[in-house]
Amino acid sequence: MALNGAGKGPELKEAAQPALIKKAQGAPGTLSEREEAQLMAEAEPFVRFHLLEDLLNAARANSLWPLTFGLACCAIEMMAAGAAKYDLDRFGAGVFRPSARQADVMIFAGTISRKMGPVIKALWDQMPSPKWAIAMGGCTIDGGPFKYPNQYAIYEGADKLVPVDVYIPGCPPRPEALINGILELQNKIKAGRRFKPSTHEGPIPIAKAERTNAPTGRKVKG
Amino acid sequence: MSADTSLVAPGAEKKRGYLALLVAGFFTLLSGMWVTLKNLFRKPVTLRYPRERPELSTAFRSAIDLVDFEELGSHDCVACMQCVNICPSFCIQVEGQKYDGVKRKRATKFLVDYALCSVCGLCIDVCPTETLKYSKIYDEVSFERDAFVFDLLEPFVEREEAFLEGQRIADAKEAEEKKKKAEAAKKAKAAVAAKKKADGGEEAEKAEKPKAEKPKAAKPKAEAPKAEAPKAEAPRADEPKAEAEAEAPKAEADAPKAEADAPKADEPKAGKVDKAAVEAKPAEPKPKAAFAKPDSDAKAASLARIEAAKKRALEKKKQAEQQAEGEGE
Amino acid sequence: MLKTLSDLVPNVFLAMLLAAAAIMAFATVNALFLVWLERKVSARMQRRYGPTVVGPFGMFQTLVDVVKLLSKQLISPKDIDKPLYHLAPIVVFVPVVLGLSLFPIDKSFALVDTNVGLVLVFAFAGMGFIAIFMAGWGSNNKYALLGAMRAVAQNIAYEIPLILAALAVTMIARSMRIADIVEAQGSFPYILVQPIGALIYYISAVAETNRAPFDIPEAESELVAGFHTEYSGMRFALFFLAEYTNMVIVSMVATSLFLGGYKGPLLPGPVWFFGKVYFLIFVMLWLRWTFPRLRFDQLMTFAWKVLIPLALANLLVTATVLKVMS
Repeated sequence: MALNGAGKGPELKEAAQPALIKKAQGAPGTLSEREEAQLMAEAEPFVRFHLLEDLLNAARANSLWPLTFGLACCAIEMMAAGAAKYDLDRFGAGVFRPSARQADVMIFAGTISRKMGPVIKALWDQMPSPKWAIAMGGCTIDGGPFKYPNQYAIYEGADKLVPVDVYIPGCPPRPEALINGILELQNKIKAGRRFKPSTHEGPIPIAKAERTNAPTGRKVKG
Repeated sequence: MSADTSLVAPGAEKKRGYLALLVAGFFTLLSGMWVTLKNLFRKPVTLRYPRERPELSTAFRSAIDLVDFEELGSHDCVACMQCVNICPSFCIQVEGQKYDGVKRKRATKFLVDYALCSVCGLCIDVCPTETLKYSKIYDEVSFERDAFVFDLLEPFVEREEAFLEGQRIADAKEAEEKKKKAEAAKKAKAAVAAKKKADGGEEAEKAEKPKAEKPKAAKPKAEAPKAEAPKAEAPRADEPKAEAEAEAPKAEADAPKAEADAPKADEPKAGKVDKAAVEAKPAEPKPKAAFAKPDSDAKAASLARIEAAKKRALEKKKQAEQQAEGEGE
Repeated sequence: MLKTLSDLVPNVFLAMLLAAAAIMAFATVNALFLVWLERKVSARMQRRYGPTVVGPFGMFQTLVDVVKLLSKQLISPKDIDKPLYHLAPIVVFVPVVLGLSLFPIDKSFALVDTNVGLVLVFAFAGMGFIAIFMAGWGSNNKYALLGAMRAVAQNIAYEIPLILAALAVTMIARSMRIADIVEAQGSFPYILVQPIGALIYYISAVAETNRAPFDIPEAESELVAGFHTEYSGMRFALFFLAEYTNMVIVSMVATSLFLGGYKGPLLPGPVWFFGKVYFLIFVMLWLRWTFPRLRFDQLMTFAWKVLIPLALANLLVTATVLKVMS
């Protein structure tokens, strides 16, 4: 997918691509197929409590407490999403916890510099599982405007550090995009099942069914 | 007890007594509480996002998109690579191709990586055909890292063949006009030369004359195609518009039916037209809704219908032209 | 005549069980409701909606939060002081639950009735910050320790005006039994007799519960999350539960001492009692979402230079007036 170096001469393109691929392979959360299957087999519990699991997942999805944690300009939009105009608290996601021990979701909001990397890793490790990560903004998806061949200052994407659940593009994304990201994360946690929405605000008029993971027909992979 | 400065704001260090300070402080607290109490009973300002959609300002910027020109029936990207070269984030990838019989190059691939883009707008400033614009995407989300590479040509793919056909005709016409003009100019030149020869004598004067006449002759030659081009394109631009306007209210009136009706209305027409046009025509009018999401559904649907009507009109126009040409030959 | 649970249920153990069940149920439901109320009130004061998705008006939001917290991983950091770390959430919760049992909610009913009720309430309240210090020390975390030290300093400072203000009331009522104090406030509540005392008591009570604007023990801009920085999942929820139950207790004391407890026209006693209690709690929420956090030196200055002298003066005046009148 990386289009970097396009039109800047073939040598730049050549230099950029292999490094990217190498990093993607070394990233946490990307295992070989066999390893993954093995892990899944080990993690499979003997007995499953479907009702209980559904209940817990519904509770988790509707109570996503983010970590008070901003990295750069996207954090301003994150604050806006928490404030009166957009109000993340409507979805139970407005309780920004100062301590990583009490947070459920880490919103990467901004450029991840090399110096910040270990701090972020420590914070992520301090969070009790189950935990989720949202990559907000171009910088946290793949480096964004700071990505160029041989750069040494930033991590090219949050998934170089932690496994990311939802990606939100934009520079920076609007607060609506963050809210949509949290709603999509809720759907992911609930695996499609959801509480019946309360009726006092009326039904949701937009066609949510149309919004799949690849919402528009314009997506091209690779 | 003397005045307690630690309780005073740094800006207002007036000497006041202990009790006066306390009482004054108490009343400032009350005024603060009055503000929050008032706001407790006011209406919230929240935009309830999934239920309500924001009104984006006209200056809102998002990932770039290709402009769909009415008079062309398509975008006008000539794959000049200027946007690719100026992009500071290396997020645009363009490839182009030259087709037989078409004068200009044509983009065959236009990818934008929205994840890399920082919406600086340099590509839009630099575009020579002004076929780039800001889209209005604002709540894009994905579970996958590489889902934000947008193929901007996708809405145009189905129309591409028809566009090329039309462009070929237009270019051929233009070339013919040019040729005619050139011939006319040649004839005029030849006539002048013949006149010169016939005149004979006073060679000094005669030698100057053609020199002076040449630019005069060249000028109409240069102007003719310019004047001709709009003439040739004017009906092409006007007719679809008129038809689209005629069909649009009809389509809006029976909104739910319209989409089902559109192909039906096409069928009888499709029977008459030749094969190439049938192939070029999309079975279902594809709305350009990908980037027009923020609008309400009804609006998007009506837009799509207008779009389809335009397309159909364009096709008809082209067929007519082709037939006319066939007869002419 | 005031009846207690042991009067109604002859078996002592059964009475204890019933009382424990009733109090635990009340404390939990109350905390769930209060957290929801706080989120709603704060949202409305900031002109937004607050929780709306789960249940009608988002009512089950806190229930969902608790279910989630129950299912979260419990992290015990390395190098903690294990007994203190694990005991602290329980120790912080037990005394506030005990304190709840002492208040007469009607003319004829209280769970427990003793002639030193007021002393017991303050004694239980004092145990709370021992637990906070246990949490801060046991966590082996600098922020937790700093937060705990602040909490202890603050609680010691504000305990004094709190008790001095309550002392003036006991002097007027000539009793430390809470039921007697409520009965002594014949036709008008003591807030009219002791306006300064009531104000001092209320301010100190807000500080005692570690709530904004006196929430420096968990000031997140300086101390991450203060004394409960290292607590996750249900252990953290117990601190939360204790904080909100503590709010109810100080409001119950204020209601009994200054607002006439269950007394009021027309409506039955419990309605008046809980109405007054929740009004005072609403004022606490109102204060929290209006005022910014105090600096630590401002907090201490306010306690030692303003509240304590005022409370002493108030006590002196009360004593003098009482002596002259008798």
